[in-house]
Amino acid sequence: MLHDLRIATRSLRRDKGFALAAAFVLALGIAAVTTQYAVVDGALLRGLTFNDSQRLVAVELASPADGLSSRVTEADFDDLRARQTSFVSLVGYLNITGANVVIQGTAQRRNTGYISTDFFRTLGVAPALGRDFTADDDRPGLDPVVILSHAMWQEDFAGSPNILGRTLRLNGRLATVVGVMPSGFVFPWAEKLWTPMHVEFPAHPRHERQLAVVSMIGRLKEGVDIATASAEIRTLAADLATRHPENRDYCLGRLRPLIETFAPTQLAQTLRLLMAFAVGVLLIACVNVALMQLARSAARGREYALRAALGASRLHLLRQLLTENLLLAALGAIPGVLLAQWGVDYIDRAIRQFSNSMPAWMRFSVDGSVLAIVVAAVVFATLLSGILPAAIVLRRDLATTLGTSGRGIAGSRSAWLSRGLVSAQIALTAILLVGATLQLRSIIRRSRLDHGYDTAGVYSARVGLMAAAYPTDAARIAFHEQFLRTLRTTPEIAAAALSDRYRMAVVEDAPVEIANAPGSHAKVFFERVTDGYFGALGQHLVEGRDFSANDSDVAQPVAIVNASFARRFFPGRSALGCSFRPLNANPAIAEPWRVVVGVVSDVRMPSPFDPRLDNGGYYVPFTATVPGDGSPHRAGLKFATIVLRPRTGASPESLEPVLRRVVGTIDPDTPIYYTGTPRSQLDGFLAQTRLTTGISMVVGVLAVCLAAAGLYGVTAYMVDRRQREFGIRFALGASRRQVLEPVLRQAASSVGIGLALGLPLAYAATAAAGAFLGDFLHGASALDPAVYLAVPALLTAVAFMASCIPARRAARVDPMIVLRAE
Amino acid sequence: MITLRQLNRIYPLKSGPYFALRNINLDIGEGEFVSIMGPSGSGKSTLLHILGLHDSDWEGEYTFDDTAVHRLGKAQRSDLQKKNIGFIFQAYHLIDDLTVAENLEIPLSYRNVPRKERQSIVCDMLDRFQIVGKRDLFPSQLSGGQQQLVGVARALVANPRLLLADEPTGNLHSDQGRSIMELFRKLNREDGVTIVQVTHSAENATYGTRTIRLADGMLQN
Repeated sequence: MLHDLRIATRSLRRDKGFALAAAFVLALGIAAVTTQYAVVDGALLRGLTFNDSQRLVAVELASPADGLSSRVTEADFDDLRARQTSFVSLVGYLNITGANVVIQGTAQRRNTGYISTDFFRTLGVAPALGRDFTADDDRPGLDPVVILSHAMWQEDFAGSPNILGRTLRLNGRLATVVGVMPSGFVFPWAEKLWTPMHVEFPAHPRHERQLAVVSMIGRLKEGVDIATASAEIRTLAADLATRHPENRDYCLGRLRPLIETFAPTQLAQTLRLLMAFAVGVLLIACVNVALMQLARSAARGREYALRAALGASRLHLLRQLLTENLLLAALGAIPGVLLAQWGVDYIDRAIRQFSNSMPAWMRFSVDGSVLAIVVAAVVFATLLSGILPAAIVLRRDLATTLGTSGRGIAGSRSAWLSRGLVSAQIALTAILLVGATLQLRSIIRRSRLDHGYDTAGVYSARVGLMAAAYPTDAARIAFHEQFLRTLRTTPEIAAAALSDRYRMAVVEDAPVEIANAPGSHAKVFFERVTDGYFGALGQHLVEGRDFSANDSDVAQPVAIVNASFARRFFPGRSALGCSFRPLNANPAIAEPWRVVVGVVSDVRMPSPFDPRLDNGGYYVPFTATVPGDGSPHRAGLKFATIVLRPRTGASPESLEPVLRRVVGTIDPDTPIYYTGTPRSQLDGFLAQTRLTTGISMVVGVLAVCLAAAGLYGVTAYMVDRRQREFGIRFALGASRRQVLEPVLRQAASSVGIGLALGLPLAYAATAAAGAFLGDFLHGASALDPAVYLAVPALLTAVAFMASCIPARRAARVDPMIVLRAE
Repeated sequence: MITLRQLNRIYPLKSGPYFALRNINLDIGEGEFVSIMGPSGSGKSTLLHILGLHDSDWEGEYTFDDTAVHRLGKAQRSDLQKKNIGFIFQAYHLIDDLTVAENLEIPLSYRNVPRKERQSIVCDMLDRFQIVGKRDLFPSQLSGGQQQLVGVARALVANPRLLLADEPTGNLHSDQGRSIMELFRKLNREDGVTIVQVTHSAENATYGTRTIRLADGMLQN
C-alpha cells in the first residue's frame, strides 16, 4: 500500500496540472456535501443534548382537518397534566416568546420563556446558581420570579455574585431573580430569561381565543414506550373533545420525538432536498474527475500495458489506479473541508439574522460526525471517479496497446464512455438547475406579490401590553386611545392607526355564517382595526363608511368587508346593510350578527406564503370581541401593530425615533418591537427561503461550471485524440467549417442527450418535491415553461462556449505538422 | 501543368532562418510521372505538400494550369486543390473509426457531391480496386498493402488530374510496393493522371517518366 502511495504521489507530481484540477473539482464536491451535511446534522440528526433525551416527547392535540396542526390551551394543558399516567412529568412552554423588561431604565423586548413548573427538571437540567421554579411560583396574581440565562447575567448584571434576590421590571411588575442557568443553556428557542407561565398568562376558558398556546413536553416513565403513551394521549384527547366542544377540531392526541418539533417537516424536507443537491454536485465532480482520468488513461495505457506485461495482476493495477484517486480525493478534502467550514459558518450566521428562524441551541458546525462524512465522501469520490477509467484501462488488449504508439489507446469504448458521462453530467446539472430556478421563480413571485398597498410607504411596529401593567380591557383600551391621540397630533405623522395584524403579515381566520344563507360556513380572514386604518394604509373605500371611534360591539356590531368578500358572499348587490357573523368554537355561544357598513379595496389578507388562498376577508373595530363570550363588551387587545404614514417627502423609517419618543411619554416601561416598513417585515418572513434559494442557486451555478469544465475537458481530449484525423481531413480537402461542425455536433449531441434525460427527470423530481414540499414551488408550476426554456438555453450556451475553444483548436490543425509527425 | 519559380520555404528558427526549400524552379507537364528523390531532410515532402497546397507559407511563384496560385486566397486554393489534386501518404492515414467505404466517401463529401452520387462513385471505386469485399471493414482489419490500396482509391475517388504520393510504398513489403507502383503506372498511362511521387527507392523511381533530385532544399541538376 505504501509503495502504491509512493508511486501515486510521484505520478501526480509529474502531472501537476491534472492533479490540481482534479483535486480542485473534488474539493468543490466535498465542500458542497460537507456543508450541507453539517446543516442537516445540526438541524435533524444531532438531536438534543439532554440526559436520556430519547425519552423526551412532544405531546400535541392535532387537528386532522388542518394538516395536523396542534393547538393546546392552558386549560387543556392543566387537564392533561393532571390526568396522564405515562410521563414522569408533563411540562409546557408558551408560544409567546417576549417580555417587556426594563433594565437600567431602558425598556426592551427580551426573548423570554414562559414555562411551567418542572420544565427544567423534566429536561434534566438545573440552575447553576439559585433554585428552580416551584409550583408555588406559578400561580396567577403573584409577583413573578425569573431565572436568568448565563448570557443575560453576564451582559446585564456583569456576572454579579449577588444576583439572587435582585429585581427587574418584567411586564410592568417587579420580578425577583431566583436562579441563573448554566453557561450555554438556551431552550426552547433563544431565551434570555424564563418565568412561570401562569403568572403572566393565566388559563382562560376554552372558547376565548387566546394568543398564548402551550407546547407540551413529556418525559416517558421507565418501561413506557411511545406507543403506550400515544394510546393514552389519544384517549385523553378524545375525552377532552367530548367534554369540550371547543376541542372538536383538535381531537387527535399524538406524540412525536421532541427534536421533530424543532425541525418541522417542511424544513427537514427542504434540508434533505438541499442535501440531494449537494450530493448531485459531488456526483458531477466525480464524473468530471473520471473524465479527466479517462483522458489521462489514453496517455498512460502503455505504462499499464507494460506493467501487465511485466507480471502485474489486474488487481494490483486496479489498486494502484484507485490509490491515485484516493490521494486526489484526500487532496481535495483538505480545501473542501476548509471551504465547508467557511460555508457552514456563513449559513449559521445568516440564518440567525432571521428572528425565530431556529433555536439558538441548534448549531451548525463541522465536528466529528461531519468529518466522518468527509471520509465517506472521499471514499465515494475515489471509487466513483476511479473505477470506470480503471476498468477501461484494465480491459484493454495488451498486445494492441503495446503495438500502437499510444494513438489507438483511447479507443472508441472510452470515447463513448466519456460522451455518456458528459450526458449524465448535463442531465444532473439540468435537474439541479431546474430545481434551483424554480425556487428562484417562486421567491421572486412571492417578493412581487401585490399586497394592494405601498408596503414601503408606511411604518409599522408592535406593542405588547402585559397583564400586570394593563390587567383590564379598560386599561388597554385607554392606552390605545391615548397612544393614537398622541400619534395623530404629532407633526411628523400624517396618519396613524392600530391593527392586530402580526408583523403586518399574518391575520386570523375563522368560519362565518352569512345571514339568510344557512349552511355557508366558509373560512375567511379577519382583522381588528381602528378608524383611519384604511386611510393610513392607502386602502380606499369602495362604498359605505370607515369605522368611527364610536363603533363598538356594545352598541351595534359592525364590519367592513373587502371587495373579494363582497363579491363572494353578496354577488350582484351592495354588501352594505347585509349581515354575517363569525362562528364561535363553542356552539353554545351565538356570536352577534355584524352589519356591513363599508366595503374597501382588497389588500392581501392571507400570509405572504401562499398566493393561492382566497383573499376574502373582513374588518371589525379594534375593540370588537371575535370570538366573543356571549356578552358583548369592548375588548382591549394585548398585542397591537401600529401603522404610521409619514408626511409627504419623509421616509417611513424616519418615524422610528418619533414613535419611541411618543410611547416613552405614555409608558416608559413599554417597548416597541418588530419595527420597520411592512416590506421589511414581509422580507423577514421570506429571508429563510431566500437563503435556501441562494444555496440552491450557488449549487446550480457550481454544477453548471463543473459541467462546462467536463464538456470542455472531453471535447479537448477528443480534439487531441483526433488531431491526426483532422489533419487527414484537411489534407483531403475539408474546410475549417467542415472540421469544426462535427466537433460541435458531437458536443451538442452529448448536451442534447443530457437535456433529453435531465429535463423529464427534473420535472418528475420537482413535481414530487412540490407535492410534499408546498413551500418549494409555492403555487408555481413544476412545468413552468420559462424555466424549461431558460435552463436548456443556458446549458446549451455554456456548452457551446465550453466546446468552442477546443473545437477552434481542431479547426486550426496544420495537416503538414500533424501528418509529418506520424 | 505546374510551374514553380524562385520558390523558397523558410522556417524561422531561433538560430536564424532555415531554408527547407531554396530557389526552386520546376516545370511539370500534364501526363508526367515525376519521382522526387533525395536524402532525408532534403525537402522532398515539403515540396510535395506545397504542390498539394497543404502548405501556404512559402515565397515565390506557383502556377497551376495558368492559375497563379501565389495570388490566390485560402478559399480559392482550397477549391483548386479539391478540383485537381489527390494525395497519398506513406502511413496511409485512413480514418480509424470509418469503414473502407466511408473513408472513400470523405473527399466526395468535402466536394459537395450529393449522397446518392457519392455512393455510386464509391461503389465504382471499390469495384475498380477490387476491394468490394472489404467495404465494411475498418482500417485496423486490413493489411498494410490493403490499407494503402484504399489510400490510393481515396486519392483518386474525386477524379483528380494530379496525384501526389509521399513515399507510398515506404511501409509496404516489396511485393505490395510493386503492385502499388504498377497501379500508378497504369493510372498514368491509361487514365492520363499526372503523378508526382516522393521516394527513396531507385526501383520505384524507374516507374516514373522523370526523376528530380533534391539536396539541402535545392534542386540538383
